[in-house]
Formats: sequence, C-alpha cells, structure tokens
Amino acid sequence: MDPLTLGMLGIGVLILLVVLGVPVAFASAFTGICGLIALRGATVGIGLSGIIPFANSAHYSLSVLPLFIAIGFLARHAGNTTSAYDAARKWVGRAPGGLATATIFASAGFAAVSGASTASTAVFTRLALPEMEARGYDKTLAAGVIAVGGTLAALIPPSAILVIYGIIVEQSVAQLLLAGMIPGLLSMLVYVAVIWIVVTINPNLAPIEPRTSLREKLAALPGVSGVFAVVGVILGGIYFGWMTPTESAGVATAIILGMALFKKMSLKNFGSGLLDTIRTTAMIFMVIWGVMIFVRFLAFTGLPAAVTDAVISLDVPRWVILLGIIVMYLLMGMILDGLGMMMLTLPVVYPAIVGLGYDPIWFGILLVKLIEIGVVTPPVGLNCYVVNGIRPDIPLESVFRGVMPFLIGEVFIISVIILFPDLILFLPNMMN
Amino acid sequence: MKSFISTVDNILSPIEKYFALIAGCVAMLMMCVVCAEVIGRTGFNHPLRGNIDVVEQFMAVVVALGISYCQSHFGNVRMTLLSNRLSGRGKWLSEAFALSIGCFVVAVLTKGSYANFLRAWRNGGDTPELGLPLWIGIFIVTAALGLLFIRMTLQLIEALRLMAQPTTGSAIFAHAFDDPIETNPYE
Repeated sequence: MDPLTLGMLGIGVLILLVVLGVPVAFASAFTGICGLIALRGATVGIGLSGIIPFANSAHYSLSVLPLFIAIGFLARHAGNTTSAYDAARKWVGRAPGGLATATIFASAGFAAVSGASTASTAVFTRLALPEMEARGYDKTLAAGVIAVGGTLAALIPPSAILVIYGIIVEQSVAQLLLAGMIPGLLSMLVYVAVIWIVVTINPNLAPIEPRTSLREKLAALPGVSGVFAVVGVILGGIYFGWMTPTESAGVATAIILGMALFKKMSLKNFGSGLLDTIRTTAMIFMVIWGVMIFVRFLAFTGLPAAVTDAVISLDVPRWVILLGIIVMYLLMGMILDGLGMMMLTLPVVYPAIVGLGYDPIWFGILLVKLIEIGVVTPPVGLNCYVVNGIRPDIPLESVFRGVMPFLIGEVFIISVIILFPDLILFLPNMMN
Repeated sequence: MKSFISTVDNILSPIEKYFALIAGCVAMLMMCVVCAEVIGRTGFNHPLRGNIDVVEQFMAVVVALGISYCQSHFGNVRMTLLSNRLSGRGKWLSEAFALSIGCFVVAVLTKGSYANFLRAWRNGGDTPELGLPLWIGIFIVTAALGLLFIRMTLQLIEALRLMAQPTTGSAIFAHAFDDPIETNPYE
C-alpha cells in the first residue's frame, strides 16, 4: 500500500475508533503506532513511539500547563469567584439585566484566573443561578448566560487550550496568550450587549436591582485584587518580556496559593486541589502523546503536504476554503469534545491554513472561538450539560434555548475576528 | 474473580493516589524553582543556574506519576455519544474494546520507553546546563507506564467479567462517577 493511501486509511480508522468510544489519546496513539509499524517495521515503530512520552513531557515550554491548571483549582479556595461576582453585582447590578451582566463580568474575572470553561460554568451555576432565581430572573436566560459566560475562560489568559494549540503547531505560547485577550474582552462586551437587547425587548425576564452606594462599590474592589494580580503578572510579564509564560504562570500560582492560604484553605482542600491538577495534567499530556505519535505517522505518509497542495491549488478564493473549515468545525463541535476535535484535525488542517497564507496565531484564536461555540451548541454542548448536571430541574432544552440569542452574538464575534485580524494580532506583534 | 479484582484494585488505588500526590508536590516545587529564578534574576541580578534543566526533569515526574491515577478515574477524553446509548452486555463489550486498544498502546509505549531508558543508561545522556542524567526521568516515565498497564489490564478484566455477569455491579467502574465536570479545565 502506498504511504498516502495508508495515511488516509489511518485517518479513517482514527475517526472510527473515536466514534466507537475509544479515548482520543489511545485511538490516536494506536493508529499512529500501527501506521509507523506498517511503514517502518516493528522495531523502528515501537522505538519511535516509545520516545514520545518522555520527550513530550520533559520540555520547558510544556511546564506552563500544570501551573495554569493549578491556578484554576486554587482560585476556588482563594475566594476569587465569590469576590468577583460580588464586585460585578455592585458595579453593574443597576444596568438592564444587571445580575446577568454581573455574571458575565464575573465569568471574565474568573477566566483571568482559570483556563477552564466547564469549571467556570459549574462555579457560576452554583453561585449566580440561585441569586438570579431569587430576584425573579427567567431561568432560561439565567442558565444561558452562565453557560455562555463559561466560554470566556478559553480565550482570556491563562488559557490551557491555547497553550496546547501552541505546543502542537509549534507557535509562541506567549503570543497566543496575548492574542486571546482582546477577542476575550470583545466576547464579554458582545454577551453584555445581547443581554441588554434581550432584556430591553422583554423587561419581565430580568427585574432591576436595588441601588448600591459608591462606598459599597469601592469596598468590593479589594476582593478582586487576586484577579487583577494574576492578569497583571501573566499579561504584563509576558508583554514586557520580563517573564516566560512558565515563569508568569509560576508567579501567578504562588500569588493565588498565598491568597488561598490566607483564606485558611485546609490541607484536605489543598490535597484535593493537587490531585485534580495532576489528573487533568495527565489527561492532557496523554492526548498530546497520542497525537504526537499520530503526527509522526502522518508526516511519514506525506499526507499533510499532499492535502495542503490540493487545497492551495483549488480554483476558489481562500476565504471560501476558510468558510468551509469554519463550517466543518462548527458541525464537529456539535458532536465532538473540543480538545479531541482540535487534536484530531490540526495535523491536516493547520498546514493547509498556513499554506493559504493565514497567520497561525490568528487561526489559533479563531479555532478556540469555534471550539467554544461547540461547547454551547446541541446535542453535545458540554457547558449546557454542566448547568443541567448541577441543576437537573432546568431541562437541557431550556439551557440550549437560553444560549440561542448569544449565538447571534457569536456570529458577530467570528465575523470581527475574520474581517479585522489586526485586532487580534496587534498585541502579540507589539510584544517586547 | 470479583474479589480478586477488588483486592488488586485496593492495592493499586492508594499507590496511584500517593504517586499523584507526589506529582502534585513536585508541581509546587516547580513553582518554587520558577519563582526563585524570577526573584533571583530581577531582584538580585543573579539567575538560578540550570533552572530550565530542573523544570524539565520535574515535568517528567509531574506528568508520569499522574497517568495511572487519571485512568483509574476514567479521566481520559472520549466521545460517549454512541457508548452512552448502550446498556448491559453491549456497554461492557464497548468498554472492553476501548480498554483492549488502550492496553495495546500502553504495552507498546512501555516497551519503547524501556528501550529509550536502556539507551540513556548505557550512553549516559544528560541535561545541557547541570548535566543531570536523563535516565532517571525516562525510568520514572517507563515505570509509570508499567503501572498504567496494570491498571488498564485490571479494568479490561473487569469489563470482560461484567460482559459475562452484567448485573453484579463493579467497584472499579464506580470510580468513573466522581464529579468530572469541574476537573476538566482544558476548554
């Protein structure tokens, strides 16, 4: 069998295994190992695969991942979430849909100390949903706001998925983290605008909050100092070239750990935070190992280069191909987990995107945005599942219905990302 | 058979948990090294020599010691759209299939990593700045893969047992029902 056919067969087997429920890490490693053995023989195939676990763990640029993950887990015990929600409520509670708007702002604040959209959704389902219900908010709107607010975590640094993208495609993690900031803030503002429009059309969905004095507003600010410290260290440190992403993650982890200890975090909570951090780290690295083995196999087949040549030689404008890729990701996002979807498609899609002349950093941001749309669209919208999982009295259909108005906002955000790439790239390009 | 499986599980689980806790402590140690480097470099104009070497070797420990603990909680990303619709023997057949693929992969990786360890042991590879021997990290990765292989084999045997006796319940698969929702920060 010629290598190209073997490469295509490999992709077919990989998709089949994933659909059959084999974990992405094992499905991609299995296909890669079998392909390498078929192409180069058992000794070389096993030898090449066996190098991957150590080589793709003991690597300085990868060390940012466990630290970013630890920040997210420790932040819960440092009281950042409650403080962020309290401050946001006092500052924007009087606006139309005030508590919903506060939830979006607080989600953005939580995103600044966590790279986890499902974690953010889980936290605010417990924290903000009962508050909104108590004030007479429509449950569908409240659930939708929380699910969509969770997606901010993937773009606003620290973002684990942007780091993984950077590692897989060998792009600067520092530039990617900076590039995520503006689209993250833009998404936040668009979600707030959607809330205002929806509530203006139907004021019964969200009653107005009581007035808060300036003294109360100012008193709420020290509680969010941890969030500002982490944002300052990560973005400032990277932007001004003072620290590598790993160093900024290390310092930010130390700050959040200090805050958690100040809040008298128990040893048991610290231990469970460490276990959760390690479990998630191991899960991510096993996928990285599997995909790296698969990427090696694909490189031997020459398939990525062949696909790139075929795509470039298509007699259509490049934006048509990009549109096709966007639609493909949106459809895949409906049924596939975001990390799996990114890891499985990047080995083939990324060379084609670069071949078409698109910027790799810009594409990383677009891809993460598409993945995040996937976590709030049916039938497999993970964030919506989280809301429904914690609050089974709110049906899944209601959560998806609550998300619908925000999807119109998402179309606007995607259009801005495509039409104004400089908006994403100017921060990383200015990096010292 | 059920009691044999749960005895092995009872032996494995604490080992995996302690390994994961050690990995967590090493991650915190890594944080300290990184902070010391930043403070030393910016505050005292005195960078910490070889910090990159140390962080890299720590990373092997942080990642490797958690893989078996992660698998014991079925923490690996998978698409469950199809498998969630199955029940009884069909469900356990699907689990056994996925686990047998996993077992094959981990066996190959353990063998390949062991060969990598032997090369590093014999040829004496080391890190560029401090000259730390690489074989230690590779050995830890190989041993962790071996532990993962034992865990996955146990899960495979349990899935096969449940195929034969689907109504008898399982302590091993109950690990999967911990709250995975909040421990999924990759998206």
